[in-house]
Amino acid sequence: MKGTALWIALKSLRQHALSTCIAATSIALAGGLLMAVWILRSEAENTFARSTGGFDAVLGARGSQLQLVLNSIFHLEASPGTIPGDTALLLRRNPMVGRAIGRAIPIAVGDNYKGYRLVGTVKEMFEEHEYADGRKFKVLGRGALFDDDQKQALAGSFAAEKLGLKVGDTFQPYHGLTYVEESQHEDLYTVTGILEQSGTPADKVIWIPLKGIQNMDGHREETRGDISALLIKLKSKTAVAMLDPMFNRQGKDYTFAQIIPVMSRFFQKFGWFEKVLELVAYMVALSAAGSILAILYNSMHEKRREIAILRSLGARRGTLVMIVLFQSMGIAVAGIGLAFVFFSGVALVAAGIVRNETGVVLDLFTYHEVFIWVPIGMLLLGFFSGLIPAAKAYQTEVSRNLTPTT
Amino acid sequence: MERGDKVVIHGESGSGKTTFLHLIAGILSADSGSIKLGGKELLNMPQSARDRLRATSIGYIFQTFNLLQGFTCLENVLLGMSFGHGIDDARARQLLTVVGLENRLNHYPRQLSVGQQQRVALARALANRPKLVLADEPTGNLDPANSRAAIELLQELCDADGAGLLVVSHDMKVMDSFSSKVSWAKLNRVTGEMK
Repeated sequence: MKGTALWIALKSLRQHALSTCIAATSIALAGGLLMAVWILRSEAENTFARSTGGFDAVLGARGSQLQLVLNSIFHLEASPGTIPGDTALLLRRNPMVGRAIGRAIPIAVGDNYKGYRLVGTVKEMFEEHEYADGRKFKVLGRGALFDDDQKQALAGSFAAEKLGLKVGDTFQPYHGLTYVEESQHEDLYTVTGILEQSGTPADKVIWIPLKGIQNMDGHREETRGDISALLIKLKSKTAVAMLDPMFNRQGKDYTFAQIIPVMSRFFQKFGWFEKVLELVAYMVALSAAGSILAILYNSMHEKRREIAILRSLGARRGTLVMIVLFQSMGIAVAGIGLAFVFFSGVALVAAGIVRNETGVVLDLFTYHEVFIWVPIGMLLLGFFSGLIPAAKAYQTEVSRNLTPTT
Repeated sequence: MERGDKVVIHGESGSGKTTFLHLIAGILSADSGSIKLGGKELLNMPQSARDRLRATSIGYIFQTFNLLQGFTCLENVLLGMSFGHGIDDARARQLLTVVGLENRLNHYPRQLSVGQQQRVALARALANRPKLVLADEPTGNLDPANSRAAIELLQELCDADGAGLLVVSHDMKVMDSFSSKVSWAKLNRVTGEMK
């Protein structure tokens, strides 16, 4: 009997294809939106927390920790200021600090090429440093690293792709972090290599020697030796307990920012926005349930005769209930399929935006428990939406709704 | 009625003949009295058992045919089977062939003439090899030529399966086709029993 009920339910859904599609689409919007909100939030938080470029902390000018991390690691925001270029040397000379720091790589920012940042650094960043466990930056094909004393550049994969840069190309940087056509420097840089994609913010910048930024024409003489920040790899995470109070409480010249906690606090600030989106998704889900209920309930009214005919053929009341529930859950199943399509669309667009803005590659299609419980929730929604119409079908009076009396 | 009997009940419109058929089919519950089908008393039978009995032992033909519009001819017949002894595709096709619709198997009711729709209804009523076929004004929507053909076909189909046939009609031509006639006016004294 279940097979018959399913057959009739599917036929009926096909017969009312337009209403079925509308109901399935509305439930899909809710499911897709919920999945997108949860996956984007958790994946963005996890990915940004992982995208530390292989560093534990940043030391920069006194100011906001978040601004320092966003500027130094994610190449977003303005630089909070500069610190002396010999800071790394001074740190190493301090016996306690020197022992805690495994690697300290200076970076300097302040110029761009057509909107893509130029970041000055040292070759150690590419030769020695691992941006993830066991993974170093690689130069593609016949390219090579820049020479510290030459006006040479190494383009991140995303920046190279967007700017159409290739080995041997030359370009003149623009002053500042925002592209203003009139502010072009005289200096001419040659691209010596393109970096292999790393899925980190390093992909969206053009790397040049530290001295390149410091000595760029037009930069102030008195700050030529300064750097924007020191990217620090700690020997032991416990060193934070010593470095944090040393720079942030006792000292007044520097800001020490531990990357992961700063980013976690940053994402917590968006908690309210996530809640709003969740609320919107729940409201859409509620209205979707309402639309399933209304569509089925109205169709029960229109189908009183059809129901009576089925009963006259021997269909039991339970079979009719099954038919209606199969219909409501069939709409939910179609909605689940559409929800994944909707989610995929949102995820692709969102991942593209995040990559454009930060260079971070979000992998939004790996397994997440939300892919299980959202469809289960949608099925339950379909089931409960079908209960009232099913009860109406159950109660349909057969004799009165059959052929008129002779 | 004995097995295979064919009876026509005639009476005025609105006098309760359809209600009577609904009671026999177990669609309605009688307040009192006794209705037996194949020796089984319907009156005290639970609804689900009456549904089962209707699905397996009774074929019902309506004046307005009551075909399901979203289902093809073949599917309408299969649907009749699905609640009874189960789907038998070969028999459904054979019945539709017998009623002359072998080329209309995948047509929807709206694509058929009134006479063709009636023939689908006949095939559906016989699909489960019922013991009794109830026909409520089966020719009410047919022209005289189609009426005669439909009644003859109905009787043939019932004969082939050994099914009893109980027709209610106020059409004199239909009544002429039956040797056993019961006046509705006298029926309140009749106890119908199918053996």
